[in-house]
Amino acid sequence: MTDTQNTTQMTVTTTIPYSIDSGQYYPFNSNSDQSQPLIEDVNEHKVTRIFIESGNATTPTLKNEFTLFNREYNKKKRIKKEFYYSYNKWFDETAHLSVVNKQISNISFLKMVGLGEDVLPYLLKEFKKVPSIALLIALEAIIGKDIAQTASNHTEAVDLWIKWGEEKDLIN
Amino acid sequence: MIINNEAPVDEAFVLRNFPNIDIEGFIVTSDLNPTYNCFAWAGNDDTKCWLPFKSKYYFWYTDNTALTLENVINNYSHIGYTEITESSDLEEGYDKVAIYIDEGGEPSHAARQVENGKWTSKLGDREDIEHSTPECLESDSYGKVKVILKRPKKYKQSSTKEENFNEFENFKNLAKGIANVPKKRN
Repeated sequence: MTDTQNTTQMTVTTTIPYSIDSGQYYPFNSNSDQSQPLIEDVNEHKVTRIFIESGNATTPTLKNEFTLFNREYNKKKRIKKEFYYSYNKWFDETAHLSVVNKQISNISFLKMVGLGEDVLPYLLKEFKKVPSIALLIALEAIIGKDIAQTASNHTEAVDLWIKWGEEKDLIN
Repeated sequence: MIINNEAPVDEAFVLRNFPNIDIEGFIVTSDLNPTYNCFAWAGNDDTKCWLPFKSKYYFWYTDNTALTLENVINNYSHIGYTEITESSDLEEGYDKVAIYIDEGGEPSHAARQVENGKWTSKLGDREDIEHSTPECLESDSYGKVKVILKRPKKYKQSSTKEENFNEFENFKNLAKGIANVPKKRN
């Protein structure tokens, strides 16, 4: 941890390592606009460091920003957790089945789809690893249209969905 | 298409889902790959999924879209499996395919006998495995083996639906002893 004190302005700038467990910290850029958060990758919880201008840390504005950030952060964290819980359970229970109807009528599959568009980054990430027909159906159900309408087979459809995900910046 | 194998079949998974399996005789023979399914793999095809659904994602030899035992048997007849046998033992000169049905009577799985007398199965979107007998995979998920089909090893399976259809017709004709008999000219 590095501390730098500016005696003229009585402002202390501290560099604090960010930890997933310290969700109450709000990462913002102390060098320029304080309202611009330094959220590099909230989905992956990979913010490596934050700057907190402790002189402003207790002001009402920042407090509001803390709250907003925490609310958004916790929502994303909850959706990711719910998605992976359902996805792993669904995969474990149905990936060995050959008849797709049985895969997509599984309760965990329905829960996963029911989480809506917020799960697209996670769903596409898993789809890229295991591009099953059931996940093609999940993607189509979530966004409400078939991106792979022009595809003539499974492989072409997978390529079109991955391309779409990359264009929408949903796949890292 | 990129295929990874992040959650490989392990003994715990197999024992949980297939309690009748002979764990000593069971091996994983491929990576996880959802490009083809068990019905395709039993028909020697690892390029697409076989199911009688009207969809660009599936292949089937006929236009019948009913997922019934009769339709599955009929589908395999297009690649030469026109005989039904009681035995799952290795039989010189024959290929065999076992069809499973679930408790509702719907086809749920298919396995194929390999050269060493063991059986190979594609586990849905997952890996291929080799197992001692078709009965090994009888379970809540796959139900029971209902029918075992066989075809002569000399049967030449083609890669397209049309060629196989012709082969099928020739095979039927051959079986009836009327193939290649020139028509009488008046």
